Amino acid sequence: MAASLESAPDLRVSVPLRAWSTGIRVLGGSERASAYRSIALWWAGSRVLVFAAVLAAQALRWPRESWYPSISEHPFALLEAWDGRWYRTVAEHGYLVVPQDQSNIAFFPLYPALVKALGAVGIPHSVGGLLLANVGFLVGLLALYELGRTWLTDADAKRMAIYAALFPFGFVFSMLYPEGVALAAVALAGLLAVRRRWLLAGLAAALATLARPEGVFLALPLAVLAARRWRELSPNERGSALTAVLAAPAALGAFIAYAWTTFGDPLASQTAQRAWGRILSLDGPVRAVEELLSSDAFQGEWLWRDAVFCLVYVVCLGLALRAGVPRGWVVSGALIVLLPLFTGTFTSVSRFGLLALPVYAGLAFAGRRRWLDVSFRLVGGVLLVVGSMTILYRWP
Amino acid sequence: MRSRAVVVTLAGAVAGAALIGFGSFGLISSLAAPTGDERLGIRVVERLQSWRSGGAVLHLEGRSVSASCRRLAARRRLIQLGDGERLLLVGRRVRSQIPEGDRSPAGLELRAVKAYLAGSRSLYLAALKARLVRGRDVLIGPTSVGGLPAYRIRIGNDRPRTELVVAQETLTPLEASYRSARVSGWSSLRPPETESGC
Repeated sequence: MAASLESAPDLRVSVPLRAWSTGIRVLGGSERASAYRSIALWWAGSRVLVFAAVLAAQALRWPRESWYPSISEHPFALLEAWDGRWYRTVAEHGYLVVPQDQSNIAFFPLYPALVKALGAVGIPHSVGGLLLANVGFLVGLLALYELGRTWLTDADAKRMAIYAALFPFGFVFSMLYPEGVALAAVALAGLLAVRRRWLLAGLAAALATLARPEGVFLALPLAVLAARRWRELSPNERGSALTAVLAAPAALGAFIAYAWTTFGDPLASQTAQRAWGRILSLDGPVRAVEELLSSDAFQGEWLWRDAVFCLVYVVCLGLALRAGVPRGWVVSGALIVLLPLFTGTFTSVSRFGLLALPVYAGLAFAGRRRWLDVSFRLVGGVLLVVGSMTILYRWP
Repeated sequence: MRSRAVVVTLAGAVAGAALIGFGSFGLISSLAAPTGDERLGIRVVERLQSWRSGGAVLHLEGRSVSASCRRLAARRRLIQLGDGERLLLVGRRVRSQIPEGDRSPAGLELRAVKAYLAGSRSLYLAALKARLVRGRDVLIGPTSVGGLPAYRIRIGNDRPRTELVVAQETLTPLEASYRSARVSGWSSLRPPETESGC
């Protein structure tokens, strides 16, 4: 039976947790250092698969030549496609709201702000964006492992990180998208909260929210954790814990305030989503199913892909619950996966779910069986390559 | 005493969250704010969304010809030129009503230029939005049309060079122009006489 940290004693003084905060010096030769090395290797291997696959698709110009620029002119162009272009316009020109049309205000600000900052020191936006995404992903995997150790066993935590590295939709973590950075921020927020570094946890939660709207759901597991530990906390810590809980909504509020003061529309980001066909309403899930069932042959295949991933996420969340992952995290994951359906489509749910961390815990729990572990790794690797090669078919 | 501690805790938490909120606002503000140029472009987009054209007088290849523009359906417009030529605009695609029309690149471009100069709002909107989204300059500078103060606005790509002249006060389109290596021309736009303008 896995241990849940929400009911565990004060962990601030435990040796493994100190190791994280005191750095690499403590890691040398330890079991954790070996886990870190292993995770870093799986990260590197999975990224080699992604980069090789997109280069191969670009070299083969499959299935249509006109889709691809030449490798010499623009290598890894696939990784900068779709929303990557929008994030680049935000980094290069800032936000602009075009009435009744697609606008870049739909894309959250942290990642383009970081890309812009790298640009200020001479790193081209394309290079800086890919660097941020991939390094952020590595940090995210290590933080996921550490957080996973507080939920499950060490072996489970390691599998969590490895499955995340090999996750079929994980090619997004290597694209000019904020998911890599967001994963790091979400996992770090959870980890720091467990270690009672509340203010840092709040900062990470705010950054997660500024990277992706899903970050705001961090308020839930942080609130549950703070509530459970309330009696153990000193008055100062209580204030810090509450700050951590409020941090993600505060960051979202800042984005809303920016849209209001700059464009006169506090919901400009939400309004812009309408141009992509996303309209939030109570009957959204019904519309999503109707769209799925009535979609044409080409469109339908990709919608079904997203619907299947949605189902997989839900099953994994159920397994995570069974494995003992704190309920606050599972509910937060469910909100990340299911709430987008209220916009009337399954589109991109596969990508949104990448930030539902208990999904990886559920997979790791199932992967305790050897044959499933091997299957997950093999199938994950193959699907990761397929997903990477077909990026231009349909936006992730 | 205890209630004071609760108040202090709550106040501290709210202050901390407010600090994070202000910090977040500062981070977002580090991104470029819309320029005056872009704001003008957005205002022109808003004006175009409510504007309808009744046609234009085209000045193309050394001759002038009048054109009327009529809305047929949601995405279909009929452009009728004074010389009898009829063009069908479906979305942003231009079709000639004469099947055996000139199919050379120059002929196809000339047809598109006529549709563009005839006052199609959808073409102007698409071109201006595309330019704004790419962060390219929009305002060329002030000008005047028949004594009326106006702005020259760049729309679309840099090549071919396409411009709109809009009234400074109302942002109503007054003139359109087009210049490429093969074709150059401009038009004087006129408001619709009926509700069926395009």
